[in-house]
Amino acid sequence: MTNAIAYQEGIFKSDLVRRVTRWLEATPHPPVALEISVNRVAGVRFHRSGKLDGFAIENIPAGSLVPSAIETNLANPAAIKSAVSSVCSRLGAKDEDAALLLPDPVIRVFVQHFDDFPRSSAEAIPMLRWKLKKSVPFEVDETLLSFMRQAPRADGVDVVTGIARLRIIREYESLVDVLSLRPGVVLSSTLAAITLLDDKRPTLLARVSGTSLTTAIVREGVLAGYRCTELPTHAGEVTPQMLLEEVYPLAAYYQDTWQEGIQAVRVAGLGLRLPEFVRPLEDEFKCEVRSLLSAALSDGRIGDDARSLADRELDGLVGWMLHRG
Amino acid sequence: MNIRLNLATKPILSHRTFLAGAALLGLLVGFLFLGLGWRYYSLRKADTQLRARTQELQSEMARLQVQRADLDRFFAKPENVALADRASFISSVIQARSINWTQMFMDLEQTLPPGVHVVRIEPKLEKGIVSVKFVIGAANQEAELKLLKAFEESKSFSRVELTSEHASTQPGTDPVTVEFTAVYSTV
Repeated sequence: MTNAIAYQEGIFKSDLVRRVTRWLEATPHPPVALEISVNRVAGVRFHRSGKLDGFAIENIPAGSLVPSAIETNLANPAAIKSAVSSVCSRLGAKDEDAALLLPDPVIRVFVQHFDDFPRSSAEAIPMLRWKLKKSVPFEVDETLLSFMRQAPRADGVDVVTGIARLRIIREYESLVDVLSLRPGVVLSSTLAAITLLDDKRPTLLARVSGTSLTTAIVREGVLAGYRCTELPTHAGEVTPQMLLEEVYPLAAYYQDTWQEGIQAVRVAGLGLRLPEFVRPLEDEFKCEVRSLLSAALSDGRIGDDARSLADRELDGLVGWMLHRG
Repeated sequence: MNIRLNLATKPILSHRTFLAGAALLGLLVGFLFLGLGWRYYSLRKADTQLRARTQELQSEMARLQVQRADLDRFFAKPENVALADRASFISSVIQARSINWTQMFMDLEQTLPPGVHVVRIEPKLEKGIVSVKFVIGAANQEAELKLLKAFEESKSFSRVELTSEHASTQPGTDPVTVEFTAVYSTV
Protein backbone atom coordinates (compact mmCIF):
# COMPACT_ATOMS: atom_id res chain seq x y z
CA MET A 1 0.00 0.00 0.00
CA THR A 2 1.50 3.33 -0.97
CA ASN A 3 1.74 6.29 1.38
CA ALA A 4 -0.75 8.21 -0.76
CA ILE A 5 -3.37 5.50 -0.47
CA ALA A 6 -2.80 5.14 3.27
CA TYR A 7 -3.11 8.90 3.61
CA GLN A 8 -6.35 8.94 1.64
CA GLU A 9 -7.80 6.10 3.64
CA GLY A 10 -6.91 8.06 6.78
CA ILE A 11 -8.71 11.11 5.43
CA PHE A 12 -11.70 9.02 4.41
CA LYS A 13 -12.22 7.94 8.00
CA SER A 14 -13.64 11.41 8.62
CA ASP A 15 -17.42 11.57 8.20
CA LEU A 16 -17.23 15.10 6.85
CA VAL A 17 -14.68 14.13 4.20
CA ARG A 18 -16.83 11.15 3.19
CA ARG A 19 -19.88 13.41 2.87
CA VAL A 20 -18.00 15.95 0.80
CA THR A 21 -16.58 13.20 -1.39
CA ARG A 22 -20.06 11.70 -1.88
CA TRP A 23 -21.38 15.12 -2.84
CA LEU A 24 -18.53 15.68 -5.27
CA GLU A 25 -18.89 12.24 -6.82
CA ALA A 26 -22.71 12.24 -6.92
CA THR A 27 -24.27 11.37 -10.25
CA PRO A 28 -25.64 14.46 -12.00
CA HIS A 29 -29.40 14.84 -11.61
CA PRO A 30 -31.04 16.08 -14.82
CA PRO A 31 -34.43 17.84 -14.61
CA VAL A 32 -36.20 15.01 -16.43
CA ALA A 33 -36.13 11.26 -15.76
CA LEU A 34 -37.78 8.47 -17.74
CA GLU A 35 -38.29 4.94 -16.49
CA ILE A 36 -38.86 2.40 -19.22
CA SER A 37 -40.24 -0.95 -18.09
CA VAL A 38 -41.92 -3.88 -19.83
CA ASN A 39 -45.41 -2.52 -19.45
CA ARG A 40 -45.09 1.25 -19.23
CA VAL A 41 -43.06 4.36 -19.74
CA ALA A 42 -43.09 6.79 -16.84
CA GLY A 43 -41.51 10.20 -16.72
CA VAL A 44 -41.01 12.86 -14.08
CA ARG A 45 -39.87 16.44 -14.12
CA PHE A 46 -38.09 17.96 -11.15
CA HIS A 47 -37.85 21.53 -9.89
CA ARG A 48 -34.36 22.95 -9.48
CA SER A 49 -34.77 22.22 -5.78
CA GLY A 50 -35.25 18.52 -6.59
CA LYS A 51 -38.96 18.51 -5.74
CA LEU A 52 -41.37 16.79 -8.08
CA ASP A 53 -42.79 19.15 -10.67
CA GLY A 54 -44.95 16.69 -12.60
CA PHE A 55 -45.15 13.18 -13.93
CA ALA A 56 -46.71 11.22 -16.77
CA ILE A 57 -47.28 7.52 -17.42
CA GLU A 58 -48.04 5.74 -20.69
CA ASN A 59 -48.71 2.03 -20.94
CA ILE A 60 -47.13 0.09 -23.75
CA PRO A 61 -48.61 -2.97 -25.43
CA ALA A 62 -47.52 -6.31 -23.98
CA GLY A 63 -44.52 -7.76 -25.77
CA SER A 64 -43.37 -4.39 -27.14
CA LEU A 65 -40.30 -4.46 -24.90
CA VAL A 66 -38.26 -7.56 -24.19
CA PRO A 67 -35.53 -6.64 -21.70
CA SER A 68 -32.26 -8.37 -22.42
CA ALA A 69 -28.59 -7.66 -22.01
CA ILE A 70 -27.80 -9.34 -25.35
CA GLU A 71 -30.61 -9.19 -27.87
CA THR A 72 -32.60 -6.34 -29.34
CA ASN A 73 -34.97 -4.99 -26.68
CA LEU A 74 -37.41 -2.96 -28.70
CA ALA A 75 -39.73 -5.50 -30.30
CA ASN A 76 -42.20 -2.79 -31.22
CA PRO A 77 -40.16 0.41 -31.48
CA ALA A 78 -43.03 2.48 -32.83
CA ALA A 79 -45.25 1.75 -29.81
CA ILE A 80 -42.49 2.55 -27.35
CA LYS A 81 -41.44 5.69 -29.22
CA SER A 82 -45.02 6.84 -29.21
CA ALA A 83 -45.30 6.26 -25.43
CA VAL A 84 -42.01 8.07 -24.81
CA SER A 85 -43.08 10.98 -27.03
CA SER A 86 -46.40 11.24 -25.25
CA VAL A 87 -44.77 11.25 -21.81
CA CYS A 88 -42.15 13.80 -22.87
CA SER A 89 -44.78 15.97 -24.48
CA ARG A 90 -46.85 15.99 -21.27
CA LEU A 91 -43.75 16.88 -19.26
CA GLY A 92 -42.69 19.55 -21.75
CA ALA A 93 -39.36 17.77 -22.05
CA LYS A 94 -37.37 18.90 -25.06
CA ASP A 95 -33.79 19.85 -25.76
CA GLU A 96 -32.50 19.15 -22.27
CA ASP A 97 -30.64 16.54 -20.27
CA ALA A 98 -32.53 13.47 -19.09
CA ALA A 99 -31.94 10.39 -16.98
CA LEU A 100 -33.01 6.98 -18.32
CA LEU A 101 -33.92 4.15 -15.95
CA LEU A 102 -33.81 0.90 -17.87
CA PRO A 103 -35.09 -2.59 -17.06
CA ASP A 104 -32.70 -4.44 -14.78
CA PRO A 105 -31.72 -7.24 -17.21
CA VAL A 106 -30.14 -4.68 -19.56
CA ILE A 107 -27.39 -3.82 -17.11
CA ARG A 108 -25.29 -6.51 -15.48
CA VAL A 109 -24.05 -5.54 -12.05
CA PHE A 110 -21.09 -7.11 -10.26
CA VAL A 111 -19.78 -6.58 -6.74
CA GLN A 112 -16.11 -7.56 -6.66
CA HIS A 113 -13.33 -7.41 -4.14
CA PHE A 114 -9.81 -6.35 -5.10
CA ASP A 115 -6.73 -6.43 -2.93
CA ASP A 116 -5.30 -3.61 -4.98
CA PHE A 117 -7.25 -1.38 -7.33
CA PRO A 118 -5.98 1.46 -9.55
CA ARG A 119 -6.91 5.00 -8.48
CA SER A 120 -7.34 6.29 -12.03
CA SER A 121 -10.28 5.28 -14.22
CA ALA A 122 -7.96 5.04 -17.23
CA GLU A 123 -6.25 2.07 -15.59
CA ALA A 124 -9.28 0.66 -13.76
CA ILE A 125 -11.64 0.29 -16.74
CA PRO A 126 -9.37 -1.93 -18.90
CA MET A 127 -8.67 -4.06 -15.84
CA LEU A 128 -12.41 -4.46 -15.10
CA ARG A 129 -13.13 -5.29 -18.75
CA TRP A 130 -10.49 -7.98 -18.64
CA LYS A 131 -11.81 -9.35 -15.33
CA LEU A 132 -15.41 -9.47 -16.58
CA LYS A 133 -14.53 -10.87 -20.00
CA LYS A 134 -15.86 -14.32 -19.17
CA SER A 135 -18.72 -13.18 -16.94
CA VAL A 136 -20.83 -11.51 -19.65
CA PRO A 137 -22.36 -13.19 -22.69
CA PHE A 138 -21.09 -10.60 -25.16
CA GLU A 139 -17.85 -9.11 -26.34
CA VAL A 140 -16.51 -6.73 -23.68
CA ASP A 141 -15.09 -4.48 -26.35
CA GLU A 142 -18.57 -3.39 -27.38
CA THR A 143 -19.77 -2.56 -23.90
CA LEU A 144 -20.27 0.43 -21.69
CA LEU A 145 -18.78 0.08 -18.25
CA SER A 146 -19.19 2.15 -15.13
CA PHE A 147 -17.86 1.46 -11.66
CA MET A 148 -17.81 2.85 -8.15
CA ARG A 149 -15.61 2.08 -5.18
CA GLN A 150 -17.17 1.35 -1.83
CA ALA A 151 -15.94 0.65 1.68
CA PRO A 152 -14.27 -2.77 1.78
CA ARG A 153 -15.23 -5.58 4.14
CA ALA A 154 -11.57 -6.08 5.06
CA ASP A 155 -8.36 -4.84 3.43
CA GLY A 156 -8.47 -3.87 -0.23
CA VAL A 157 -11.23 -2.26 -2.26
CA ASP A 158 -14.80 -3.35 -3.07
CA VAL A 159 -15.96 -2.26 -6.49
CA VAL A 160 -19.48 -2.19 -7.93
CA THR A 161 -19.39 -2.46 -11.69
CA GLY A 162 -22.23 -1.98 -14.12
CA ILE A 163 -21.74 -3.29 -17.64
CA ALA A 164 -24.11 -3.14 -20.60
CA ARG A 165 -23.94 -3.78 -24.28
CA LEU A 166 -23.37 -0.56 -26.20
CA ARG A 167 -25.87 -1.53 -28.92
CA ILE A 168 -28.64 -2.09 -26.37
CA ILE A 169 -28.03 1.18 -24.54
CA ARG A 170 -28.06 3.02 -27.88
CA GLU A 171 -31.40 1.39 -28.62
CA TYR A 172 -32.90 3.04 -25.52
CA GLU A 173 -31.08 6.32 -26.01
CA SER A 174 -32.43 6.54 -29.57
CA LEU A 175 -35.95 6.72 -28.12
CA VAL A 176 -35.25 10.16 -26.68
CA ASP A 177 -32.71 11.34 -29.26
CA VAL A 178 -35.52 12.16 -31.67
CA LEU A 179 -37.03 14.46 -29.03
CA SER A 180 -33.71 16.32 -28.73
CA LEU A 181 -33.33 15.01 -25.20
CA ARG A 182 -29.79 14.22 -24.11
CA PRO A 183 -29.73 11.01 -22.11
CA GLY A 184 -26.80 11.95 -19.87
CA VAL A 185 -27.53 9.41 -17.14
CA VAL A 186 -28.42 5.76 -17.75
CA LEU A 187 -28.84 3.16 -15.02
CA SER A 188 -31.24 0.40 -14.10
CA SER A 189 -34.46 0.87 -12.13
CA THR A 190 -33.33 -1.25 -9.20
CA LEU A 191 -30.01 0.61 -8.93
CA ALA A 192 -32.08 3.78 -8.62
CA ALA A 193 -34.58 2.18 -6.21
CA ILE A 194 -31.86 0.96 -3.82
CA THR A 195 -31.69 4.52 -2.49
CA LEU A 196 -35.05 3.86 -0.81
CA LEU A 197 -33.57 1.20 1.46
CA ASP A 198 -32.65 1.95 5.03
CA ASP A 199 -29.15 0.48 5.06
CA LYS A 200 -28.40 0.86 8.77
CA ARG A 201 -28.91 -2.91 9.10
CA PRO A 202 -28.43 -5.70 6.52
CA THR A 203 -31.45 -5.32 4.26
CA LEU A 204 -32.47 -7.49 1.33
CA LEU A 205 -34.44 -6.06 -1.56
CA ALA A 206 -36.44 -8.33 -3.86
CA ARG A 207 -37.83 -6.39 -6.80
CA VAL A 208 -39.98 -7.99 -9.45
CA SER A 209 -40.54 -6.35 -12.82
CA GLY A 210 -42.15 -8.36 -15.59
CA THR A 211 -40.42 -11.72 -15.45
CA SER A 212 -37.19 -10.45 -13.93
CA LEU A 213 -36.35 -10.56 -10.27
CA THR A 214 -33.56 -8.43 -8.89
CA THR A 215 -32.20 -9.20 -5.46
CA ALA A 216 -29.85 -6.81 -3.71
CA ILE A 217 -28.43 -6.66 -0.20
CA VAL A 218 -27.23 -3.41 1.32
CA ARG A 219 -25.50 -2.81 4.59
CA GLU A 220 -24.18 0.47 6.01
CA GLY A 221 -23.76 2.23 2.69
CA VAL A 222 -22.37 -0.80 0.93
CA LEU A 223 -23.93 -2.90 -1.80
CA ALA A 224 -23.06 -6.31 -0.44
CA GLY A 225 -24.70 -8.37 -3.18
CA TYR A 226 -26.69 -8.04 -6.40
CA ARG A 227 -28.36 -10.63 -8.57
CA CYS A 228 -30.79 -10.31 -11.46
CA THR A 229 -32.55 -13.47 -12.59
CA GLU A 230 -35.43 -14.50 -14.82
CA LEU A 231 -38.53 -15.89 -13.14
CA PRO A 232 -40.44 -18.73 -14.84
CA THR A 233 -43.48 -16.47 -15.00
CA HIS A 234 -44.44 -12.79 -14.62
CA ALA A 235 -45.16 -10.91 -11.40
CA GLY A 236 -48.86 -11.66 -11.49
CA GLU A 237 -48.33 -15.41 -11.37
CA VAL A 238 -45.12 -15.82 -9.41
CA THR A 239 -45.44 -17.89 -6.23
CA PRO A 240 -43.67 -17.34 -2.90
CA GLN A 241 -41.72 -20.55 -3.45
CA MET A 242 -40.43 -19.35 -6.85
CA LEU A 243 -39.37 -16.07 -5.27
CA LEU A 244 -37.64 -17.76 -2.36
CA GLU A 245 -35.73 -20.09 -4.64
CA GLU A 246 -34.32 -17.11 -6.54
CA VAL A 247 -33.65 -14.96 -3.48
CA TYR A 248 -32.09 -17.67 -1.35
CA PRO A 249 -28.68 -18.01 -3.15
CA LEU A 250 -27.77 -14.36 -2.64
CA ALA A 251 -28.97 -14.43 0.99
CA ALA A 252 -26.87 -17.55 1.63
CA TYR A 253 -23.87 -15.93 -0.05
CA TYR A 254 -24.28 -12.91 2.19
CA GLN A 255 -24.60 -14.98 5.35
CA ASP A 256 -21.48 -16.98 4.45
CA THR A 257 -19.41 -13.98 3.46
CA TRP A 258 -20.45 -11.40 6.03
CA GLN A 259 -21.12 -13.87 8.86
CA GLU A 260 -24.47 -12.30 9.74
CA GLY A 261 -28.10 -12.79 8.82
CA ILE A 262 -30.48 -10.58 6.88
CA GLN A 263 -32.30 -8.26 9.31
CA ALA A 264 -34.93 -6.72 7.04
CA VAL A 265 -36.56 -7.64 3.74
CA ARG A 266 -38.16 -5.17 1.35
CA VAL A 267 -40.24 -6.29 -1.60
CA ALA A 268 -41.25 -4.30 -4.67
CA GLY A 269 -43.23 -4.98 -7.82
CA LEU A 270 -45.77 -7.42 -6.38
CA GLY A 271 -48.50 -4.84 -5.84
CA LEU A 272 -51.57 -6.17 -4.08
CA ARG A 273 -50.13 -9.69 -3.97
CA LEU A 274 -47.52 -8.72 -1.38
CA PRO A 275 -49.40 -10.20 1.64
CA GLU A 276 -49.10 -13.67 0.04
CA PHE A 277 -45.30 -13.38 0.24
CA VAL A 278 -44.84 -11.80 3.64
CA ARG A 279 -45.33 -14.90 5.81
CA PRO A 280 -43.05 -17.24 3.74
CA LEU A 281 -40.31 -14.64 3.62
CA GLU A 282 -40.62 -13.93 7.37
CA ASP A 283 -40.43 -17.64 8.10
CA GLU A 284 -37.33 -17.97 5.96
CA PHE A 285 -35.39 -14.90 7.12
CA LYS A 286 -36.86 -14.49 10.62
CA CYS A 287 -37.12 -10.74 10.19
CA GLU A 288 -39.55 -8.00 9.23
CA VAL A 289 -40.83 -8.11 5.62
CA ARG A 290 -42.42 -4.99 4.14
CA SER A 291 -43.12 -3.27 0.87
CA LEU A 292 -40.17 -1.12 -0.24
CA LEU A 293 -42.28 1.98 -0.83
CA SER A 294 -44.53 1.71 2.23
CA ALA A 295 -41.46 1.22 4.46
CA ALA A 296 -39.74 4.22 2.87
CA LEU A 297 -42.92 6.28 3.33
CA SER A 298 -43.39 5.31 6.97
CA ASP A 299 -39.67 5.93 7.68
CA GLY A 300 -40.07 9.43 6.26
CA ARG A 301 -37.50 8.80 3.55
CA ILE A 302 -39.94 9.98 0.86
CA GLY A 303 -41.31 13.53 0.78
CA ASP A 304 -44.99 14.25 0.32
CA ASP A 305 -44.35 15.39 -3.25
CA ALA A 306 -43.27 11.85 -4.18
CA ARG A 307 -46.33 10.20 -2.66
CA SER A 308 -48.18 10.32 -5.98
CA LEU A 309 -45.32 8.35 -7.61
CA ALA A 310 -45.24 5.89 -4.72
CA ASP A 311 -48.98 5.31 -5.08
CA ARG A 312 -48.30 4.17 -8.66
CA GLU A 313 -45.41 1.93 -7.56
CA LEU A 314 -42.84 3.90 -9.51
CA ASP A 315 -40.12 2.89 -7.07
CA GLY A 316 -37.33 3.44 -9.58
CA LEU A 317 -38.28 7.07 -10.11
CA VAL A 318 -38.91 7.67 -6.41
CA GLY A 319 -35.48 6.24 -5.66
CA TRP A 320 -33.97 8.42 -8.38
CA MET A 321 -35.51 11.45 -6.65
CA LEU A 322 -33.52 10.59 -3.54
CA HIS A 323 -30.42 10.11 -5.66
CA ARG A 324 -29.85 13.85 -5.75
CA GLY A 325 -26.65 14.41 -3.78
CA MET B 1 -27.21 4.43 -0.21
CA ASN B 2 -26.63 5.74 -3.71
CA ILE B 3 -25.27 3.62 -6.53
CA ARG B 4 -23.23 6.03 -8.59
CA LEU B 5 -23.13 4.15 -11.88
CA ASN B 6 -23.84 5.77 -15.22
CA LEU B 7 -23.88 3.82 -18.46
CA ALA B 8 -24.85 6.65 -20.80
CA THR B 9 -22.93 6.76 -24.06
CA LYS B 10 -22.49 10.52 -23.53
CA PRO B 11 -22.59 10.91 -19.75
CA ILE B 12 -23.27 14.29 -18.21
CA LEU B 13 -20.13 15.59 -16.62
CA SER B 14 -20.52 16.77 -13.08
CA HIS B 15 -19.22 20.28 -12.52
CA ARG B 16 -19.29 19.92 -8.76
CA THR B 17 -15.53 19.44 -8.41
CA PHE B 18 -14.91 22.54 -10.50
CA LEU B 19 -17.61 24.51 -8.68
CA ALA B 20 -16.36 23.39 -5.26
CA GLY B 21 -12.78 24.27 -6.24
CA ALA B 22 -13.86 27.62 -7.65
CA ALA B 23 -15.94 28.35 -4.55
CA LEU B 24 -13.04 27.44 -2.28
CA LEU B 25 -10.68 29.59 -4.31
CA GLY B 26 -13.24 32.41 -4.32
CA LEU B 27 -13.56 32.10 -0.56
CA LEU B 28 -9.79 32.26 -0.10
CA VAL B 29 -9.53 35.24 -2.44
CA GLY B 30 -12.45 36.83 -0.58
CA PHE B 31 -10.69 36.41 2.76
CA LEU B 32 -7.47 37.73 1.25
CA PHE B 33 -9.38 40.71 -0.18
CA LEU B 34 -11.00 41.39 3.19
CA GLY B 35 -7.63 41.11 4.95
CA LEU B 36 -5.90 43.43 2.51
CA GLY B 37 -8.89 45.76 2.52
CA TRP B 38 -8.79 45.95 6.27
CA ARG B 39 -5.02 46.58 6.17
CA TYR B 40 -5.50 49.32 3.56
CA TYR B 41 -8.28 50.87 5.66
CA SER B 42 -6.11 50.78 8.79
CA LEU B 43 -3.15 52.36 6.99
CA ARG B 44 -5.36 54.98 5.41
CA LYS B 45 -6.89 55.78 8.77
CA ALA B 46 -3.44 56.04 10.41
CA ASP B 47 -2.25 58.21 7.51
CA THR B 48 -5.26 60.48 7.88
CA GLN B 49 -4.61 60.82 11.60
CA LEU B 50 -0.94 61.59 10.93
CA ARG B 51 -1.87 64.19 8.33
CA ALA B 52 -4.34 65.78 10.73
CA ARG B 53 -1.69 65.89 13.48
CA THR B 54 0.89 67.35 11.08
CA GLN B 55 -1.64 69.92 9.95
CA GLU B 56 -2.42 70.76 13.56
CA LEU B 57 1.28 71.17 14.40
CA GLN B 58 1.86 73.28 11.30
CA SER B 59 -1.05 75.51 12.26
CA GLU B 60 0.31 75.79 15.79
CA MET B 61 3.78 76.58 14.40
CA ALA B 62 2.37 79.23 12.08
CA ARG B 63 0.38 80.74 14.94
CA LEU B 64 3.50 80.85 17.14
CA GLN B 65 5.57 82.34 14.31
CA VAL B 66 2.97 85.06 13.87
CA GLN B 67 3.01 85.62 17.63
CA ARG B 68 6.80 85.77 17.59
CA ALA B 69 6.80 88.24 14.70
CA ASP B 70 4.27 90.35 16.61
CA LEU B 71 6.47 90.26 19.69
CA ASP B 72 9.58 91.04 17.63
CA ARG B 73 7.79 94.03 16.13
CA PHE B 74 6.61 95.05 19.58
CA PHE B 75 10.09 94.85 21.05
CA ALA B 76 11.59 96.63 18.06
CA LYS B 77 9.60 99.80 18.76
CA PRO B 78 11.95 102.60 19.98
CA GLU B 79 10.15 103.08 23.29
CA ASN B 80 10.36 99.32 23.95
CA VAL B 81 14.03 99.16 22.96
CA ALA B 82 14.79 101.89 25.52
CA LEU B 83 12.69 100.02 28.04
CA ALA B 84 14.61 96.81 27.24
CA ASP B 85 17.94 98.59 27.73
CA ARG B 86 16.72 99.97 31.00
CA ALA B 87 15.50 96.55 32.05
CA SER B 88 18.83 95.05 31.09
CA PHE B 89 20.65 97.68 33.09
CA ILE B 90 18.41 97.10 36.10
CA SER B 91 18.96 93.37 35.70
CA SER B 92 22.70 93.79 35.73
CA VAL B 93 22.46 96.03 38.79
CA ILE B 94 20.27 93.49 40.53
CA GLN B 95 22.68 90.77 39.52
CA ALA B 96 25.66 92.74 40.75
CA ARG B 97 23.92 93.46 44.00
CA SER B 98 23.10 89.83 44.49
CA ILE B 99 26.83 89.07 44.79
CA ASN B 100 28.39 89.43 48.22
CA TRP B 101 31.28 91.70 47.30
CA THR B 102 32.55 92.01 50.85
CA GLN B 103 32.85 88.27 51.25
CA MET B 104 34.46 87.95 47.81
CA PHE B 105 37.10 90.60 48.62
CA MET B 106 37.75 88.89 51.93
CA ASP B 107 38.31 85.61 50.10
CA LEU B 108 40.45 87.32 47.50
CA GLU B 109 42.55 88.85 50.20
CA GLN B 110 43.29 85.39 51.57
CA THR B 111 43.93 83.93 48.12
CA LEU B 112 46.03 86.57 46.40
CA PRO B 113 49.81 86.02 46.93
CA PRO B 114 52.20 88.92 47.44
CA GLY B 115 53.40 90.74 44.34
CA VAL B 116 50.03 90.82 42.55
CA HIS B 117 47.09 93.22 42.56
CA VAL B 118 43.61 93.19 41.09
CA VAL B 119 43.22 95.39 38.04
CA ARG B 120 39.57 94.45 37.18
CA ILE B 121 36.85 92.13 38.43
CA GLU B 122 33.74 91.27 36.37
CA PRO B 123 31.45 88.85 38.16
CA LYS B 124 28.60 87.34 36.22
CA LEU B 125 25.69 85.36 37.69
CA GLU B 126 24.40 82.62 35.44
CA LYS B 127 22.00 79.92 36.64
CA GLY B 128 23.09 80.42 40.25
CA ILE B 129 26.82 80.12 39.42
CA VAL B 130 29.07 83.11 39.86
CA SER B 131 31.69 83.22 37.15
CA VAL B 132 34.31 85.89 37.77
CA LYS B 133 36.62 87.32 35.17
CA PHE B 134 39.86 88.63 36.69
CA VAL B 135 42.49 90.93 35.27
CA ILE B 136 45.46 90.77 37.61
CA GLY B 137 48.72 92.67 37.46
CA ALA B 138 51.80 90.77 38.62
CA ALA B 139 55.29 91.97 39.42
CA ASN B 140 56.96 89.10 37.64
CA GLN B 141 56.45 85.57 36.25
CA GLU B 142 57.00 83.97 39.62
CA ALA B 143 54.22 86.07 41.17
CA GLU B 144 51.94 85.06 38.28
CA LEU B 145 52.58 81.36 38.87
CA LYS B 146 51.96 81.74 42.58
CA LEU B 147 48.72 83.54 41.76
CA LEU B 148 47.44 80.75 39.55
CA LYS B 149 48.52 78.07 42.02
CA ALA B 150 46.81 79.93 44.86
CA PHE B 151 43.56 80.10 42.87
CA GLU B 152 43.75 76.39 41.98
CA GLU B 153 44.22 75.49 45.64
CA SER B 154 41.61 77.95 46.87
CA LYS B 155 38.40 76.67 48.48
CA SER B 156 36.47 79.73 47.32
CA PHE B 157 37.52 79.67 43.66
CA SER B 158 37.55 76.77 41.27
CA ARG B 159 37.65 75.88 37.54
CA VAL B 160 40.38 78.37 36.84
CA GLU B 161 40.80 79.00 33.09
CA LEU B 162 43.62 81.16 31.86
CA THR B 163 42.40 83.44 29.11
CA SER B 164 45.51 85.50 28.30
CA GLU B 165 48.73 86.82 29.70
CA HIS B 166 51.10 89.42 28.42
CA ALA B 167 54.25 91.08 29.62
CA SER B 168 54.99 94.78 29.41
CA THR B 169 58.21 96.78 29.77
CA GLN B 170 56.61 100.18 29.59
CA PRO B 171 57.05 102.26 32.67
CA GLY B 172 53.92 102.85 34.78
CA THR B 173 52.38 99.50 33.82
CA ASP B 174 52.52 96.08 35.41
CA PRO B 175 55.31 93.88 34.07
CA VAL B 176 52.86 90.94 33.68
CA THR B 177 49.12 91.12 33.16
CA VAL B 178 47.04 87.93 33.53
CA GLU B 179 43.43 87.40 32.51
CA PHE B 180 41.53 84.37 33.73
CA THR B 181 38.12 83.22 34.84
CA ALA B 182 37.19 81.28 37.94
CA VAL B 183 34.00 80.11 39.53
CA TYR B 184 33.33 81.68 42.88
CA SER B 185 31.68 79.22 45.23
CA THR B 186 30.38 81.41 48.02
CA VAL B 187 27.75 83.89 47.00
